[in-house]
Amino acid sequence: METDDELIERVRGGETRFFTELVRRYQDPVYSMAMRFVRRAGDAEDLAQESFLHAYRGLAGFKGDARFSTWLYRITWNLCADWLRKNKKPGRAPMAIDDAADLADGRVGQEEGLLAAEEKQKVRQELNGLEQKYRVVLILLYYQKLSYDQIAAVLEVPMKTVETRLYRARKLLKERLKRAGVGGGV
Amino acid sequence: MKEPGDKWLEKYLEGARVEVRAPHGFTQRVMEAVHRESLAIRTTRPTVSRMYRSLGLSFMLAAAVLAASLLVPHGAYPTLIGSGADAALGAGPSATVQNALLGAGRAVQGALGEAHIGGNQE
Repeated sequence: METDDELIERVRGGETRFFTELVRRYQDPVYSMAMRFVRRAGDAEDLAQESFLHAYRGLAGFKGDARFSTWLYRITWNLCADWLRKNKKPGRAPMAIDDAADLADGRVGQEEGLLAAEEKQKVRQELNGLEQKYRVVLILLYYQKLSYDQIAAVLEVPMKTVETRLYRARKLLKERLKRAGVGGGV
Repeated sequence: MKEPGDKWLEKYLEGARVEVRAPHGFTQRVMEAVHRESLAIRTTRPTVSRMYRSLGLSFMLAAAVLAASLLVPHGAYPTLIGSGADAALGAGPSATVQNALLGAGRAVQGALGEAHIGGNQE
């Protein structure tokens, strides 16, 4: 199987069809990232598609300082951040990622058995209620499974900032969950 | 910078996690957009070879116009001067210059004559 770098070289050489493999490899993480941030299937798909188009356009200038995946996630995050800025409406209740309306197009699978449905709902609700900068680092770490390094590269902030935000985010979420009566946390 | 309660929190976050996958046909839709874009770029932006071809054609056209502007007057002198005695006058090493002067003189005379006819009806 060809590496990302090999595929990139081929696409740069004019063999556009090799970009298909890159899309296939990263469609799920890119789409899920968009979905977790904007929480609307149609918009998430548009943003994910736009992310790949941006990547395709910018491939000639991709220097390879970071991994292709990190670079792609950064593009996705920037597009999502723009979307969130434009669609920020005061008083609009955030949608849950597993709302029936959102399931229409995307494929969302529930992970069963760990928590009761009500608890899951509360955790998501409290997570979504966090300030964006704290919510984003938690989502990237726990849901997108990115490393601290990758989070710093995606958000274009120093590693120390990521650590600080994570510390604050965990603390705030624990407090919120405690108030919501979830888990009787420490 | 983890705290004792973080394990508990991680468990809850992990438990509330939903697996999200791209919709069916996503890759195909992205690639269609990529192909559309490549095609649009190709049709709107001339390729380098096409640019060179246009440049070469322009250069050749300019050279042809320049050559014509130099050659046509020379070729036209004998016609302007005419034949017979005038042509004989033109024989010799400085024939071209003499012919040109003669032609120019006649052209001026002709022009003056026409002006006289047209300008003074008396």
